[in-house]
Amino acid sequence: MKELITYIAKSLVDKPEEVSVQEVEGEKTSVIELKVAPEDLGKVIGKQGRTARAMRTILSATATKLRKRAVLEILE
Amino acid sequence: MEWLEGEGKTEDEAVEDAMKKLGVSSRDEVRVEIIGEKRKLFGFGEKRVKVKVALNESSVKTSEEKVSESINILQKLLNGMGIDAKVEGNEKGDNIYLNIFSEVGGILIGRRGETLDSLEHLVDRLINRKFQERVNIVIDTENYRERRREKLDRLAKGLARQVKTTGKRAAIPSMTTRDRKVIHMALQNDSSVETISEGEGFDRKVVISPKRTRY
Repeated sequence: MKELITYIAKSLVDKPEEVSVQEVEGEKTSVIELKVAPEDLGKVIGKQGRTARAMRTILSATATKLRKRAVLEILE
Repeated sequence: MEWLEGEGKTEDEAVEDAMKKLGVSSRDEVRVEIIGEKRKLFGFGEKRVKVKVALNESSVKTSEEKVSESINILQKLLNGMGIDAKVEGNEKGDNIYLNIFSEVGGILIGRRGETLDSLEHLVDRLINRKFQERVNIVIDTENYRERRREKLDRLAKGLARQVKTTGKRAAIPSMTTRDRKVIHMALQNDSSVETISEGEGFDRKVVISPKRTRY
């Protein structure tokens, strides 16, 4: 799941080298923390949060397949 | 034309940096302009060169490349999701149609197609960063798009009949933009009812109401 978000985020931003993704694994829920350069924040969020929502949706689908839950947090 | 900036110790390094951001691998494909050079600490220390690059007009990708690149991106997303799948693609007009073949079905589609829509949005974003001419991505699996369209078409026509007999309006809540469009299209030739989208954001819904007679 971490790799998935890393790939998407790095492809979206202007500064891929400043993308960092941490996965905090809980028993049932994993939290994926995404950090990007401040000027790239808009790119991973998208118009009206559409891109962030799309990432969350496919993350949930992935987690469901693993019988888990996953939450994406975009850190500022 | 989209210009992207790059930085490095030498001009070559700076150009390479910018090309990476642009997603091209050959220097022949780009135009380069040097923005400036600077040395830190009075000429000692590291030199930094800043350049900007843009795609040459002649290297605007052919549609075949766009289709194969879109397939590539979608395949990477599916791999990342741990889904074993095959993707086929073709192009019609400004649209690139991608069809996913897999065993997982439902997970890929999601509630009301939202997983499919999300994949579509992401592939759209990633592919259109790489190419100058915009393309529109349409992703489908197991003929879901057509099945959904038919289902909504029946729903719209059924509700239209109800609206005609009762004279009262009917609303269909929680749908995507695409779903709402299907409803509008299904009833556009029905002269006795009209369809309007109401509300904002997640509350937006289609309302079918008896057509007002003008005086």
